[in-house]
Amino acid sequence: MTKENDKYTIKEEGKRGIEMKNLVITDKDISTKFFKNSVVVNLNNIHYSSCTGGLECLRCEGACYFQDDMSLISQWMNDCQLIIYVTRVKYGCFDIPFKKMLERLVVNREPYYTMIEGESCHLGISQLQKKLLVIGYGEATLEEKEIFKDLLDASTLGFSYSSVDAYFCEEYELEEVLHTFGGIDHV
Amino acid sequence: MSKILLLSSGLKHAQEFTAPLLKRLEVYLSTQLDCVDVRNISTFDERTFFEYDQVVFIFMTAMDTIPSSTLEIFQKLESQKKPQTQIYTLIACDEYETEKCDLSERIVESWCKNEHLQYMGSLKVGSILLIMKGPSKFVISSYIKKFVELIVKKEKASLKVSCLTEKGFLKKANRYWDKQIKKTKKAKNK
Repeated sequence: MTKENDKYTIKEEGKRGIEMKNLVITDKDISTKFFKNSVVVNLNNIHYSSCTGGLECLRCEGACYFQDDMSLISQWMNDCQLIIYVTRVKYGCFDIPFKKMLERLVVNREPYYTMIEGESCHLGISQLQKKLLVIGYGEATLEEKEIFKDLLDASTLGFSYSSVDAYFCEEYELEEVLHTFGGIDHV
Repeated sequence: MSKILLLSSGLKHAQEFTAPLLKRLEVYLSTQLDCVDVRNISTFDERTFFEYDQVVFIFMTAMDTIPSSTLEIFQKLESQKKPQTQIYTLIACDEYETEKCDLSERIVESWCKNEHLQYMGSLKVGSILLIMKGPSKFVISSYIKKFVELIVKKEKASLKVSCLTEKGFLKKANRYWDKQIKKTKKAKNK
């Protein structure tokens, strides 16, 4: 997916119903050459509204009030086997654009509560086994990295992730790190 | 005399779930202090932040952590000059375990550390969708009173409250969603 016409391609690919394998979501412009077997979604190039948090979608069996690019992306999140996040880490959390995108994924959860590992949680609609790789960049302290890792663990409860991995780097190192990870979406 | 700001910083419609808690907090604080301001994400002006001695952030977690609307407030405040304001949080989550609010608290703490603000603790509320509907609302009122006393005395807070039992929560919460879904279906069919 090219940077110039993200919106067009998102719609086109949705219409064609191509088989989703890997999905890369980034909040920073990155070269797509590192992820040749994935659909790369750059949050700076798509249109999505902020979740209002009223949980209306859970009352309507996953139908979100907003009809925007997130409608398709949330569907892709259910269907793909490898998800890669490239995000800035701030105070041990995702940065605002990424957090806003994640909040829209509440549609991918069941409204009902289930007990898993002694904790109440919402199960994910899709129970397809998948892997999550998170590349967090920015100036984060050790403590913030710990918070971020715990956040990933908490957010994947109720979903079928076979592995959740997080790597951290400085912003200037990101290109190099992506180069190291290049081709990981081929595995 | 302290000047206190109660800031409802949750997502726009999630503020409806925390509104009863905010109201009680405001009423109890107003009986003890003269200056209690209540703002939300759309009425908050970051330029006035330095005027307050204590600020209480009130929000419901979104996708297991702090909502983006609160992060936006943090970002706005980054560029502001701030005195040693005391920060408290009232965090609510829809799950039974109040531990689900811990991550959000750690993030607020991390922000306070970066901004040289004094983090003073929290009141964590679990089962927020149900807790104000049954007799448990009397329990929560007493917790809010305790929280207010700590704020007024400028003492550290670490309070948590949820539905009485886990089993009761599961039963009631799933029945709640059943009702909500049926109600929406019925409204759509009309």
